[in-house]
Amino acid sequence: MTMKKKLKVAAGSLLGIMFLFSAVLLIHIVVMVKNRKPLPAATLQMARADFKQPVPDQVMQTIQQAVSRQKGVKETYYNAGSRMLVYTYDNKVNTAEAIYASAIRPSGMSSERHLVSQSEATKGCPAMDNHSFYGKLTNMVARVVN
Amino acid sequence: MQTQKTKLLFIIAAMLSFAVILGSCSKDDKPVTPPTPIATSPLYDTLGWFIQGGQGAVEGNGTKMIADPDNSGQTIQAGRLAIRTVVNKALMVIAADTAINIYFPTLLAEVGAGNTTGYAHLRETFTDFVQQAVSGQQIYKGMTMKAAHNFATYNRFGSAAHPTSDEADFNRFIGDVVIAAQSYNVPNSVIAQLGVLLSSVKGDIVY
Repeated sequence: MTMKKKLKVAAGSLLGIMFLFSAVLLIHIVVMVKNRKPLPAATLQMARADFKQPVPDQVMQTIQQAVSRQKGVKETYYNAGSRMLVYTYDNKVNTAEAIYASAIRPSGMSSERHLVSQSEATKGCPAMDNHSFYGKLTNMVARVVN
Repeated sequence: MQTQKTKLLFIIAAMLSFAVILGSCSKDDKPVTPPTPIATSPLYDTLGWFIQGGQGAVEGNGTKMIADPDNSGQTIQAGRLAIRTVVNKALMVIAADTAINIYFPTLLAEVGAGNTTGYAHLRETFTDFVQQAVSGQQIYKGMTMKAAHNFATYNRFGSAAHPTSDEADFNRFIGDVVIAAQSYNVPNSVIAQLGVLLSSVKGDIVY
């Protein structure tokens, strides 16, 4: 077999494998999203602020009230043991950063917004990230098959 | 004349037969199958009654369809709404609990990165699971509890460092669900029944 023919076979095989993988991915997405109903509160987001010292009950009550007053905030929960404040909000209406900046940082209590590291962020399922290529592809396929 | 009379009789007989056949096909004569009642239980009815303000009779409130506050224009069984409300809060309690939030690194990473689909999916499957346990409706289509709580079989649970949960973790989880239910003033008698139901899967979750 000549070198040219070998290259042709290799290129053909590579294209064939790529096509097969793409087809498998598409079929997998179709199976996953077929008849999928929109999830309730699909844009509900959870965020966390970690306090660096114990927060007196009354101060925490004030902070939680301030957080609850922010647009899109649904609920708050504070664990005094772990000094973590968790809040849920609609990410179409507000952002975790804006809520933290407006309602938690001004409290005067030393705290920081919980952020995931780059390595943690890559652990999630890419198809579940609406902004990733796979997420966009999944949403597109869902629109076609449903 | 005789032939015409015979023809007329034949036509009338044919028409009558046709009418009888048509009549036998009418929907009214079909045996009516009563719709299968949706499974429920006193606990499910109590939860549905509670989420609607706790007024009047309890019976029938679990499966009663009411407006879904999280899904505009949709309705939801009142019992399910009560369960979903507690589940939503329980996930917040768990997220702030350093003893067991280590088992949800992927979920928390996704949520922290602004990717909420896994979170919404967990809320739904967790709600389905509890609703099935409480009401008897066969709606949970997720993994088995055993497979879902082992990093080796489900890499969204735990990590290589914390692949499975133990009894202390499970008790902590039940405690977090209790905290969530108490935050809505769910009566202790109802919380106790929920606790018993959740504890029934302990053997599958504790390794």
